[in-house]
Amino acid sequence: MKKTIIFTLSLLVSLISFEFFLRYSPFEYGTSPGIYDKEIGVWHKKNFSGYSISECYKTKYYYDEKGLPKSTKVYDENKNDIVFLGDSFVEAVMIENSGIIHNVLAKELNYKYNVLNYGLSGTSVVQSFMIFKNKVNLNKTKYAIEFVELDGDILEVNYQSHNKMARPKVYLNFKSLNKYKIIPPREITLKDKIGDFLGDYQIYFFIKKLIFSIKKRTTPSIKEKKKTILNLSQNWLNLEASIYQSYLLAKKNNIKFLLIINSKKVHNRETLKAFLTKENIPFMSIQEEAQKRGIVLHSLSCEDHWSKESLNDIAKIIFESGFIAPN
Amino acid sequence: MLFNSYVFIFAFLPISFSLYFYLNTKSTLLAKKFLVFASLFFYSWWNIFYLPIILGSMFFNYAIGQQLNQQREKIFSKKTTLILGILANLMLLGYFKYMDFFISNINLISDAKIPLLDLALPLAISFFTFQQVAYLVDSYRKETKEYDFLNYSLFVTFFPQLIAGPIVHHNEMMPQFAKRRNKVKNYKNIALGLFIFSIGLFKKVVIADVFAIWATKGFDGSEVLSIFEAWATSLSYTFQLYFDFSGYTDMAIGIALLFNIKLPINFNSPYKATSIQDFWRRWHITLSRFLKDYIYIPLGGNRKGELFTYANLMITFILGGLWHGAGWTFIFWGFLHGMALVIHRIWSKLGFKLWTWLAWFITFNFINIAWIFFRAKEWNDAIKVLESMFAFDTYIDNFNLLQFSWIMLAFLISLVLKNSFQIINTKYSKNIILFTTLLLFFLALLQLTNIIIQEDKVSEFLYFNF
Repeated sequence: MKKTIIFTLSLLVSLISFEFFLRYSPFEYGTSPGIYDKEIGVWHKKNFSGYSISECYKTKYYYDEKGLPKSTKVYDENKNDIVFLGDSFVEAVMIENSGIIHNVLAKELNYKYNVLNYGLSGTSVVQSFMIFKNKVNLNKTKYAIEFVELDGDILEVNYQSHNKMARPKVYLNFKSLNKYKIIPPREITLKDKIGDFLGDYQIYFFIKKLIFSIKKRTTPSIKEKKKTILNLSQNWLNLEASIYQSYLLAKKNNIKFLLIINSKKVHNRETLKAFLTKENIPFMSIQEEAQKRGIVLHSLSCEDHWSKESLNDIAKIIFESGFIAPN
Repeated sequence: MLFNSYVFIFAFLPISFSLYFYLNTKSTLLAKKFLVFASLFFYSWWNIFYLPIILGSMFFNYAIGQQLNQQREKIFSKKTTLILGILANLMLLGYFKYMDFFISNINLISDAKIPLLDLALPLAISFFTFQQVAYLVDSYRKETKEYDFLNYSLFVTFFPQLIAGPIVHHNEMMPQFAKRRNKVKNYKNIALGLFIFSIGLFKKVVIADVFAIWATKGFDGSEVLSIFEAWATSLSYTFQLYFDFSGYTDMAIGIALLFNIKLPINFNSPYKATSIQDFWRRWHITLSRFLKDYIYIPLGGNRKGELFTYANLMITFILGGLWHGAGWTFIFWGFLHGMALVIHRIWSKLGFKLWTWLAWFITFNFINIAWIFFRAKEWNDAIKVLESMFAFDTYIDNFNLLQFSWIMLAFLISLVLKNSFQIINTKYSKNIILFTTLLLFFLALLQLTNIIIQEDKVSEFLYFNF
């Protein structure tokens, strides 16, 4: 009995000590920036900061009182808003705050607008539309710049591709460009609540990574499985219609809209461009635009997300494109 | 096989431990054979191609040892046999460890373009060669003898100390294997062994591997360092090396104790040293003992006047530096320590005294600075760190509070807390020992797993490279 108590106690103390160790050592995992949101499924924690950690960076990120990546200037009620929509390429928590696209553009514009970043990692244009619709203050917004990470989004815009074990997410299922059904994020479960609670602890990520690592060793073809979606016609409809709906919403609210295509696959790019041209939706293919200016867009050394320099270049391209009026 | 790997902790160690004591109940000869086999298996786990080298070295040295132990008339005198034996060992070490260094220096001086051999250094060659040289000298001095090849094999290959020491003498090991009471499980030794093993594992994976990240970043990853980064980098390596190597030694001592074998102490709080002489009485004690007994004293030690004593000190430490690695940075490190010992000797002769805290401060900083040359892959890396440490015109930027806190913690552990040797010689209640063992073991195991999933590999011990 005594030995069992000692065993249990030592195990418990070692777990607590390990949490402290992870928190205060270079082996830190970072904490979860996400929390359950009944409209989108997940949203950033408000007034929150943490570290985004990978092999090639350890960056402190900050979310403001709305859960948006912090702006370098305090929000000015007397100014209009420019909003960025998109996924982790836009959210860019791996880049130091002043180098994230909204802060670079705000500086380029000499802070004449409030430039807000509504980017949310793990989302596609479907969720971007819902964020635009539900979270953005449409009355104050003058410009909306939406990024589509086309090669990834085309696989993720279909609710059928949603991993049931993953965090809940809102989806739209389109019948046509104007007709859609909202598939709300599933109800928050006890597991999600526990996840949200444990998301503040390093040890939770350690366990998650351990499980992932074991699964990866036992089933090495997880990634391949995801890519074997044969019929993408519904995906294309969902993708194009979500962009179309964002555009319509902007138009209805007198917001100037620009879609920025980020795609390395020419076929995908050309397909979407044809659609956008047909519907008169303003767009810019960022790779082509950068190429025209002799700029090479670099990714981070350990992953696909854009580097600080590239985000800086993209912000300048937007600024120089004349899309935003100087005043 | 690394001590800090799952395969060692959960498979090799429990199996070899259980089988050894089980076989001892049947036949002690069989148990001994098994332990040699297990040790060779442990050694071959890295690379089976190294096995013939260690076996060849063992056969050769055993044969030379036999010659030295025989009383009858021989073709060569004992002294000639000993010299031949030592030369053969040094040639083996020289071929694998120093040949490329020698060739690259020839190429540099003469502009010759002799191709490098690019030989991989057989694991533990420096350790098993030194151990066997010591055996030959001890045999020559009639301080030890061994007529049984199996016993000799066990002396050389006993896996806890095979790879990175402690460097042991034949006559301090073999009587322990011969003792009847050591052939049965001793639960006190098992408890103590696991306790020390856990301390060592904790030191390695929880402390040394943290400092390794900062040391690597500073030495190999950064082009320019601020004054804070430079000091933090050098101190990080100073503590990484200590916790890594003393952690390994603790694990070796702990594992050997499971088999009822007591290995000699190798570290005695070296960073508490208040002089460089004191440091070498506390750091890698078995190597210091070897250098003293088999180089310094045979050279004449302090028996031939002051100038010769200084020269002997310099030679001993330059060779000590060279033993650690084939490179000018290692030689320079040895030179620095030799110089420091000479200066200390002159200082002591003149009867000067320092306040203890000042003596410690000077000693520690000297050791810390000297380690820069020991760690740096190239001269330029060493100069980069060293110059930045004294670039007082730069302001303190890039202050890393986390790294600073860890350095302070390491100072506290190294200077205030008891070392492993002191801990095992202190009487604690069984429950405290059990609790601490489990706590350190669980924590180390969690971090070991963490390192594997974050870096996809187990980190090696620094002294495996020497």
